[in-house]
Amino acid sequence: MTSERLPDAARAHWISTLSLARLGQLESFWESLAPKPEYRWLRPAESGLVMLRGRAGGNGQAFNFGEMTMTRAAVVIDGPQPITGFGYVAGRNARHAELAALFDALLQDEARRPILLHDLIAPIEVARKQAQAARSAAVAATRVDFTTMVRGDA
Amino acid sequence: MPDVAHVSQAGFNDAVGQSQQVFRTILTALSEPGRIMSVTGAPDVQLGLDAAALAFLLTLADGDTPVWIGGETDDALAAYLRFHTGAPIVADPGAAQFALIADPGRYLPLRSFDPGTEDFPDRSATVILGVKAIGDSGAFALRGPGIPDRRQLAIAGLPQHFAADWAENHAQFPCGVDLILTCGTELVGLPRSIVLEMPCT
Repeated sequence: MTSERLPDAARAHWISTLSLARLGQLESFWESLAPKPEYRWLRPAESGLVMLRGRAGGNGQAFNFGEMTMTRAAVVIDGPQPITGFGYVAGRNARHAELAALFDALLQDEARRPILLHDLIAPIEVARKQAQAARSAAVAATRVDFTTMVRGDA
Repeated sequence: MPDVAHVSQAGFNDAVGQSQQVFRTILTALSEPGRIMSVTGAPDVQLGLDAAALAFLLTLADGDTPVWIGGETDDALAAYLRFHTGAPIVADPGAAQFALIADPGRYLPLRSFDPGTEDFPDRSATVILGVKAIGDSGAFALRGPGIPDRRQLAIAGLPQHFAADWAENHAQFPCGVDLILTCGTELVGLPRSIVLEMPCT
């Protein structure tokens, strides 16, 4: 049990980043990690459906919008205080959920956090922003601006 | 106060395979009342209940089955069950689908639990009772569906008023609760249809 609670927003941020990362990024970082921590499964990866709630059309009450496939996993790193890490990712990739859970646990370790934030989380965000920018640019190149003509009967 | 974020003990390694095996074991136990069944694959955790009882709950409890574990709703076992099964842990024994009495010292009369209704007797509760020892060929005699003639059973550590309590439960048929006796990794099914002849003491 952690005596002081982590700032939830910070943890939510890295959990989100880990979920949105590409598997290759997590896998190569895990490969290069030395020494690797000892861990055990609290809940092995399992896939299921979650109900998404939202406002179709962007207005009105939030309602059940549809279901999506998710995979989740939970790991424990034993120590003086066991650390539990959770990974929730979209889709059916069990390995992604496992690695996300593992890194969530490692990020809760004060000693490892600065290095991981710098070497793992930051590059993932940069890569995501670049990918987004590239996609926006590619889409923008095909943008067509229609000139609206005044209707004749006005 | 322990919450699910602080659970650090694992459930089944292989949830699908192991819960299927335990399910089969429970099915046999309830269809052949009094037969001593051995449960394998229960996780090795120290939460104050028998391995068989733990395997039972991990297999059958889920989000639709309120579980009563002695009225405690915020101890380590409650957090563990909430995390691994998603079952709501309730303080009211009458609201539970599964009730766990790990220690006969905390026994509640069987009428405290939901006996189902005449229309839906299948909606009754199932009570898991931990006892000190279970053995073949003892002083208890069981009669009823699933037993060719009668089956002898030795049970040590039953609560004091159990005989009268069971008779009352049996008399409500088709309503009434079903009982699972557990001891370590062994369990015995005692459905409500069974007549239990106790040793005269």
